[in-house]
Amino acid sequence: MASKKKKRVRKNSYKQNQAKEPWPTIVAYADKLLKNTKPRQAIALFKQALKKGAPSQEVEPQLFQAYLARETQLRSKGMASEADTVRRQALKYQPAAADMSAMALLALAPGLGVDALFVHYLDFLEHHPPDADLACHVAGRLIISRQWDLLDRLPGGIPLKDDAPKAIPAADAMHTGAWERALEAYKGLPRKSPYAPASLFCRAMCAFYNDDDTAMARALDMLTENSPLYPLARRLASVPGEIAPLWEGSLEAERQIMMLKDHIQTAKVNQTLGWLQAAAGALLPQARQRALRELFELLYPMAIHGRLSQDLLERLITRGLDRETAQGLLAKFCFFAFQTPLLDLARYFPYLEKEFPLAEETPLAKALVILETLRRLEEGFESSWISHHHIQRLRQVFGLQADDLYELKIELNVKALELDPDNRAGYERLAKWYPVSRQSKNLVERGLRLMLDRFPEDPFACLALATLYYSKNAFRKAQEVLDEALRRAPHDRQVTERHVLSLLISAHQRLKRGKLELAKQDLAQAAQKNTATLKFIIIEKQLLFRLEQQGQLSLFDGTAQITPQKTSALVDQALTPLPLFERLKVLGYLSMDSEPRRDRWPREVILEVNKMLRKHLRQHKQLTSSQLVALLQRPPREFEPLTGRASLAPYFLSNAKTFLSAVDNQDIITVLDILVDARCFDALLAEIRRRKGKKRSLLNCLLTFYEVAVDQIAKPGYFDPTVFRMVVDTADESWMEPLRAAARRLSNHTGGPLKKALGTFNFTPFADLMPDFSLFDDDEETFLDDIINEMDEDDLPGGSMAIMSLLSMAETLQTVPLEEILEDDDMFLERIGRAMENFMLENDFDTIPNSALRTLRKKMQRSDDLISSLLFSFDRYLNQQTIDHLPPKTRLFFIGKD
Amino acid sequence: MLTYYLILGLPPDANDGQIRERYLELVKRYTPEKEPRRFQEISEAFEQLKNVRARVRSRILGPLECKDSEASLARLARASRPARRRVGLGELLAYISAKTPR
Repeated sequence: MASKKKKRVRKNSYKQNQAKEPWPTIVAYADKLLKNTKPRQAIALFKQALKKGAPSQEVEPQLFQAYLARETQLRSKGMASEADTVRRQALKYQPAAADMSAMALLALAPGLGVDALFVHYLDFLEHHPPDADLACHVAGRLIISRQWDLLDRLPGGIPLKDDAPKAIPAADAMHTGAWERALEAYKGLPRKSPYAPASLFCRAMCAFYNDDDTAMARALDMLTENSPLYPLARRLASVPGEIAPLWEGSLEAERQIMMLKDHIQTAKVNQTLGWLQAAAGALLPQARQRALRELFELLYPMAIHGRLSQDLLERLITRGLDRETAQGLLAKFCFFAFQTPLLDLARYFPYLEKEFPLAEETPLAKALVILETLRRLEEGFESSWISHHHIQRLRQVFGLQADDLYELKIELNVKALELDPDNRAGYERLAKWYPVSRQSKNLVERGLRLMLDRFPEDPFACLALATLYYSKNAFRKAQEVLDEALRRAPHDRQVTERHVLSLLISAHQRLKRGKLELAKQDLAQAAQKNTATLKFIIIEKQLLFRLEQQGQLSLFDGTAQITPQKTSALVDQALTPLPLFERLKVLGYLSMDSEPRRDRWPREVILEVNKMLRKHLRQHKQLTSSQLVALLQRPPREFEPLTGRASLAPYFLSNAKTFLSAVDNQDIITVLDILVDARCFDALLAEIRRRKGKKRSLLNCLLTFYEVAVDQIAKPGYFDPTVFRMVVDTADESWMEPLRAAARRLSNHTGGPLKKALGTFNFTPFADLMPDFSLFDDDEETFLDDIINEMDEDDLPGGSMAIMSLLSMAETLQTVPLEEILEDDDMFLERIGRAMENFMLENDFDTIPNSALRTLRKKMQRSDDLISSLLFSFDRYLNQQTIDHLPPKTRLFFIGKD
Repeated sequence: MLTYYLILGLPPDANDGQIRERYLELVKRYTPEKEPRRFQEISEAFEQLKNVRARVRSRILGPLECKDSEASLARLARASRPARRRVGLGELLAYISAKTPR
């Protein structure tokens, strides 16, 4: 109060002081106020100056301008009637034409008709030189009104008249909406022409119709206030969407979607849901649920990357969509997350009929979802875990027979192809499996035969079937399909090679059975085909034949024994034309093939073969690192009937101790993977210890990781997570991805808790307390079956995102009062309960004995990690009803009471 | 997925023939030389919708393959805009004048 009074006192004293000033000072000050866009104060001072005796011819023009400025101010505020009153007052002070300034006429012009404006303009020109701003305004008014006859009154030599021939056709085009033609008509106009703003406006409109909003805004920004097109330009620049004549329909959908995009991270649930529903209604008025679903799918990446709370997204989904659609969408998101792939597939699959109701779409969708699961499983998708319960669930949903996970995948693959027999990618995946049991081999055969019929020109199924028949020792059937492949694609290089391979396989089998003449015929045919890629194996089989032949002759004539000298002579002769790489391959396979002949060949001959291998291996440093890697790799699958699945790594490593030291660092990890696969643990560990340095680097970290992992892989049943944690905890953040990838690859070579830990890259205390029994152990099957049979079959939304859902909900509870949450979402507590149940199911904690659960709970509560503290915070919030509804083990784990 | 239908100016239940016909019409209008950006957009939309297999794949795996929600929403917003209508200066000024309070 005191300060307001002080202000009033100050103001009055100021006014009193001002009143004492002479009129020139007052006029000068008023002029300053007018320039500072304070016309109301300026008007008062001008009037005061007049009262103090200022000459009217000096002050009245300025007063006139001040009133007009005030009129413009009032009109911009939407006070039209007040503005009209002020204008009438202004007109009382309108100076004569000779005294009217350009600025004053500009201020007066908007309220004048074109004719009156022209009269004033002509008067102005009689007493003043042309003013550019005024000319622009008049030009703009002419463009709008097209009253070109007014220009006849103007003298020549004025740009307004001189530039009119370009402006006239341009204006006509502007009025018909032919903006491009108008712009073309303005070409060549001087930049300072009074019609230049109109040309700019045309450029803006052309950019608009070109969908170039940036160029449009740029052009509109260049228009100045004196142009009559300025108000329109401002509206276009700021909200073109609100100018209805510019659009064929409504921009409501765009508006709502942009609101959503810009504010979703900070807005409340109700507001966000409002935008979503409005956008969906505007996008697809006849199918709002579908549009809403699509919007949620677009928000999914935001939730995954942590820019939107997953709990919020889930709440929006459950509130925005009908129950079944919401559950289906949440199941789909779990399917994407791939935390428990088989379970997620089993849960999502039943919803596909509703998501794809058209008859032509449903089977394709189902097949795609199955194949996508298989693809990601085979690529060792990060953090995925599979348990016995998941397998059982999948068997129930799909009616599968296999118990073993590998065989189950094959069965699923075939199911997908039965749904979508034209899915070539599905057949390619099918061909990659290594079926073991007769049942799964028959399944693969069934699938590939389906492809034979559906793709009659494609030899792929024939080649894949040949590989399968060889694995079944069905050589005749293999030959039949290979003949079919040749018929389908006689010039295909791959088909030709497979044919040669089939001859070699036949020769190999005949050599084993001692049918040398028949083997010789096969080898001769194979050699004729001249396939460079198979040359080495042809030579190896020819050598084998010669050695076997030497052995047979010696039985007949009793003279020529297969001797070390003859062996080395034969081998040298065969190898001489070959480069070192090929020689080593030949010798490697020869060593491999000589092993099963130990009972028939003299020991010295076997030793001679090895000696020759060692001799040539001495030159291994001449080879490149990639060639060394290629030598160690397992042979291609098609070779297996000849070579088996084993790699040549043991033969090379045992005969050349420095073989691995010649491999470059960039290839060493690939080599380590090969050696793990070949179970060459000693050589692998020795090489790691030799190569590993003390310097902190990704390579050294990976080598240490392999060392630790292989050490434990080599001891089945052993698992110590602490050594892994030491490696992972000291690694740089940027090394995590390669470490995870390595762990995934290594998990394929082990089982039990070690497999899980490597597969999920999780070496926390959880792994310590996993049950001792293996979940794949047959003895435990009955026990697990009993538990599984008691389980609730209902689909529970939240799925394998259970841990993330739980943590997100726990975090929400830390920051928002429960009452507020329940106002928005009255099912919140129930959702917590369901997520807890899911968590127990997905980690198989429901199968752990109570005592182990109690121990696990205690250990986690004692640890100081955030996850544990959040997981055990729910007991503060859950009401008794929710707690009572939890299954006993869930209650025991989360609440501490069973 | 809806974005692709909007780019081609088709309803979500359009069949293979309608999609192809519309695609050919649009690429004639927006050629790669004159409208490269628009052409690319139209071609991409067509690839995602060209047959039932592509449409099913896009609907199932689309959200998984999308990495940036904000960009996708902006794209949907742009695609949802109706076509621009040719309008002359007089009509525009009359509209603004009618909307200005008196």
